[in-house]
Amino acid sequence: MSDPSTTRAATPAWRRRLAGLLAGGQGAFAVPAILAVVLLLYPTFGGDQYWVRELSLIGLLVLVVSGVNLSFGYAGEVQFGQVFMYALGAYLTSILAVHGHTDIILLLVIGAVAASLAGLLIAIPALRIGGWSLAMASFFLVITIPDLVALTEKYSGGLNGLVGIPVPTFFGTELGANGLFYVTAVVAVLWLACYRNLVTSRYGIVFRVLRQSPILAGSIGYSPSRLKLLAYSLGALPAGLAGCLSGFLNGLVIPDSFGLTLAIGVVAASVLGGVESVYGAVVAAAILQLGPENSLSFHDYAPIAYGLFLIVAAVVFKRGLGGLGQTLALRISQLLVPPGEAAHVVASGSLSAHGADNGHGAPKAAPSLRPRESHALKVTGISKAYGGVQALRDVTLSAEPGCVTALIGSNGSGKTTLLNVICGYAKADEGTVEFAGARLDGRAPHQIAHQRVGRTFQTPSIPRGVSVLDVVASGRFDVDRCGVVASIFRLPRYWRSRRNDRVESLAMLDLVGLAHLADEEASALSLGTRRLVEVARALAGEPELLLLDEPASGLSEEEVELLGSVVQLAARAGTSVVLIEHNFRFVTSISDHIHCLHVGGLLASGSPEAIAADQKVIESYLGQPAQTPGEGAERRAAAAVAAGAEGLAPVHSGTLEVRGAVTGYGDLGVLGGIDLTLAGAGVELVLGRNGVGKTTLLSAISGQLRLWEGSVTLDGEDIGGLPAYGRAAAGIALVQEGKRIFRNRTVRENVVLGTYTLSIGRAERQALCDSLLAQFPVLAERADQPAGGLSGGQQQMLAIAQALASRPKILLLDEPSAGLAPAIVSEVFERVRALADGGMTVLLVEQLAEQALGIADHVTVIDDGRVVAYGAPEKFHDMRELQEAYFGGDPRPTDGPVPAPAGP
Amino acid sequence: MATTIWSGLTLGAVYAIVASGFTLSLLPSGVFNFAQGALVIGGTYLTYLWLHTLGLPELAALPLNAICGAIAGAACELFTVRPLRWGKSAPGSQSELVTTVGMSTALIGAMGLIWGYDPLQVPFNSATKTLSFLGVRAAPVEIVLVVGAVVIAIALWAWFTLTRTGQACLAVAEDREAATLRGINVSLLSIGAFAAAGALGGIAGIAIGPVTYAIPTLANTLALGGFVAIALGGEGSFLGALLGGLAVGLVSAFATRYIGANYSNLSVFVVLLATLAARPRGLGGVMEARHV
Repeated sequence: MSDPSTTRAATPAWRRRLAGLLAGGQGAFAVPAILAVVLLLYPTFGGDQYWVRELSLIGLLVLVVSGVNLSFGYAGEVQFGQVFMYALGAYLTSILAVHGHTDIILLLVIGAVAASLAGLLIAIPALRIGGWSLAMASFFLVITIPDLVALTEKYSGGLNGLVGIPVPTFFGTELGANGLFYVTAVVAVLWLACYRNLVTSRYGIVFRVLRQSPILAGSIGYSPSRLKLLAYSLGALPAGLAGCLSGFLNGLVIPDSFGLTLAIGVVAASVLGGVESVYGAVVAAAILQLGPENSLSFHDYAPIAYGLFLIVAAVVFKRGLGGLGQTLALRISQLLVPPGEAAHVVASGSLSAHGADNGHGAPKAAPSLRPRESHALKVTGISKAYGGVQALRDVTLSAEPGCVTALIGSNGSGKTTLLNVICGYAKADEGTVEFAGARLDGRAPHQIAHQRVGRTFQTPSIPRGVSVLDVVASGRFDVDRCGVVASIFRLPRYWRSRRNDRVESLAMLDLVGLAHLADEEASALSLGTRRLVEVARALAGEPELLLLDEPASGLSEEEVELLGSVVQLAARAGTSVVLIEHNFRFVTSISDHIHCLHVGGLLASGSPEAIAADQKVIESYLGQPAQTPGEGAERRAAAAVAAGAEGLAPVHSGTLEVRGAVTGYGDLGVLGGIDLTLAGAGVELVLGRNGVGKTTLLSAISGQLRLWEGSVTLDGEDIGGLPAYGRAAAGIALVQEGKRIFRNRTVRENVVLGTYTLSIGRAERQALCDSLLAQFPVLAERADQPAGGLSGGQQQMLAIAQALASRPKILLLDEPSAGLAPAIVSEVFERVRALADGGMTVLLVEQLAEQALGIADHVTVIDDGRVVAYGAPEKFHDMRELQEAYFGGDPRPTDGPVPAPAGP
Repeated sequence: MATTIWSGLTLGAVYAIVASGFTLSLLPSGVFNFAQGALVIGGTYLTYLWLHTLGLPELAALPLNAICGAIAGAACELFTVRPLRWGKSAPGSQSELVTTVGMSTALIGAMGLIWGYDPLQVPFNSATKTLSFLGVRAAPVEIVLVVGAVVIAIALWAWFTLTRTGQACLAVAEDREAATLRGINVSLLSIGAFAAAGALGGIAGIAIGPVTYAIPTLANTLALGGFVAIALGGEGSFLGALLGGLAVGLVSAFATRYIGANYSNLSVFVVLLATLAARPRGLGGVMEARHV
């Protein structure tokens, strides 16, 4: 960080101040506050009555629209029911007024309370449903308004409207038109102030977290249900206030004014203003009021304009006018003060711009974490099944405090499921989880998080529109609680926890080496950096149990090293650390104890040295010991005979060439220039650790991922420009990892779907499917059952049968052995071998190296997106090379530098 | 009693047809096209235009409505669904809800601009003689409507179950990515289904118009009724849409007859909430809940 005193002198003070205001820095609320005061004084400046009334009506819509923002923008669900709350507030208070209760303060309170309670009407279904179900159900609420009014005609005046509403009183004094304006303006301004305080406090972040993922909200210690109830009832509150005022302003309450058009208009205004914006709602409400409501000539076109506007807004500017304004203000502020000089000006989140620089200026001490209470984690007899697949079977293990306990195992071995069981996201069928003397099983995720259990996710879960510092701070919200009331009214407690948030979060960021990114938008960072941000977030909660799910994948060597030291630091502070990781080198370097899972069961436990030498563990990664080549050849011959005997449908072969393939996801490069050639019948085996780009290679060949550089040709024709479905039609069939069949369709329907690209008659299609099913007797027996009911191995067979049904030239198989029992794996592999012997070109990606080598004709090993070794399978039977590639040592080719192309 | 059942079935048939249209476009696209109600109302206005204004025979209305409906349906897909697939739509943003509601509002506004907001009587010239059976007096158009709703639902169910393209749509509904890898052109199916749903809406307008009259604002009511039908019958199921639609109509008719007209919507709402609370995926849902 550059020295602030020298850079700040370069720009005049007023420019820095103005830039700070525009960027939403300290004192930014002064601008709207001054505007609000000017507005309040408008009638005293002799403003004419027309505008006094229009401004009052705009004030009402501001209240209604900004309430929608809270539920739509922050809780994340579209709902059209706000008009119902508005109508409820209007009717309830007007009826009371007609019956002689005219005190405006009392009526406002009643309107607000009633609307908040009615907000629960939307919140309660929202706990179970979301998306379009919730939107439509809330929409439906609006069309019941006229019926409810008609049913309560005695009080509400029925469809003709409630008339004779008296003038409201303020402590006994009757309020004139100006008086009503003052009340409306004060209520609107106060609400906006409260709303602003709420969304710029940590609740703004918590709601964004909820919108992103309720799972994440649970993991930082907030109950998603309670947050939703809060968002919907708080969002309904201003509509109740507005309803109360609308009765008096209009002197009439009639159901027609609470129709579907208004319901849509309010959502349109919310989108127009920007669902996350505070002040955008004001502009949008003004447009809603002054546009369609006023000019009669425009009125006819209003619905068309609304409608088109909704489409354009949702497609083009997702952040609305508020977002545009914010971007513009930020640009101007950057013109005033170049970004390099503005150390802490840029801020979209809440923490960044406020408070002193206490995190940065302080001299760095040696990194350490506060010591915490130490408890052991005890997992006893956990079993868990998903559908027919047993993800965990009777797993018993423990993690000692102050130690790093690693969980390893091949894909699908149940590691993440175990983590989910510990955190409460998955409910175990059997078994118990104990931590700190309490049972964790059976508790909700947020309750488990209260026990100081922190975790990171395999796919980093980072809410959009939140700065790195705020993301990290969200991890400690549960440690340092600060309620809604304290946040809205900025009680001392709020300022205290805010200060602590900042100091502690910066310390955590420093620890993972990201302090310089504190003000960046976290979701825009690269995958590896987001992982480190997640680790910092988990550490900020001062966890006593820390669960890390593949924290090192996607990290550079230096970052991995840093991560290792941070994890050990946490352990030294007394935390029990549980680490899931594929990077075996990393695991052995930092863990004290390793548990290896295999197909849902605990295979081995012990020290890193013991595990690295454990034959069973090596087998679980590399597969069972290979047959001697002689045996393999014998079996191949047998399989070929068997295939012939079963009347294997004629299969095809082709030539696939991949040249210099470079691609990745977003900004993360995965493949760094891969060459691969498949020509004619045979099995090409691609080996490599997890995360080195094997699946990415398949995605690039199948067309799911476009190549950044390089080419893919099939039988000499460039297929790089074809979309995925076009490549499937051209003859490339990919069987994805994880048995991606259509579970709700029957087995036969699945096979028929495989023939989609073939233009053949119905009879021929049936014959083809029958012949395929005949090759898989287990499938033929279950032809008319839903595929979801098949066992894992059968599902894998079905996935292969489905791919074969398209008569492909090239068959791509992604880890067909994942999650299958060893005997089934052998069966699948035999089948693959038989296909190749029948003339098929197969590209097989596998982790079970030894077993896969037994059926391969040629092998390519990739690491970090590049080919590091290739050759005949026999060359790899000495497994040392592979073990190095998998478990440690620098990746290097088996025989010197790799000449391109690598081909059989 | 019989009269109430019949009026419930007539109303329910309207909802069932709307719900079938929803399901048709929902399966291969994953999008709930709120504008389906507006497409049906568009069909009623087109029928009014051909039969009343231009004096064409009813047989001519059939292809004309189908073509116009298909174009409007395809436009819905092109403007409200496709653009959202260009950029990475943020999770949970539910942009397509906003855009399809927008499309519906714009279509309603356009119809209101052309034909006004007062109800227009849509003629039904084919048969006018009221039939009586089991003590129920039924207009021929009502019979066409009820039979039509059943035929449409069964035909669509059969088409989706028995044809290659139908199966492909169901596969896309289950797993978009996996379907693409089997060579299915997902975006072509999506636009095709929207066009088909539009054509269905247009044709349905011929029989619905004479029963409900042509009113622009009825579009939202139809869309909501169709939604409740799907919520009851289960997302993604045509038979569910039919039974759900008829159930909504019957609940509505019985509430009107035995409790009071003002309880019709309220009763449906209560049934909706109860269903959503007990079975969030509907009574016969086949689609997996979408995980955001």
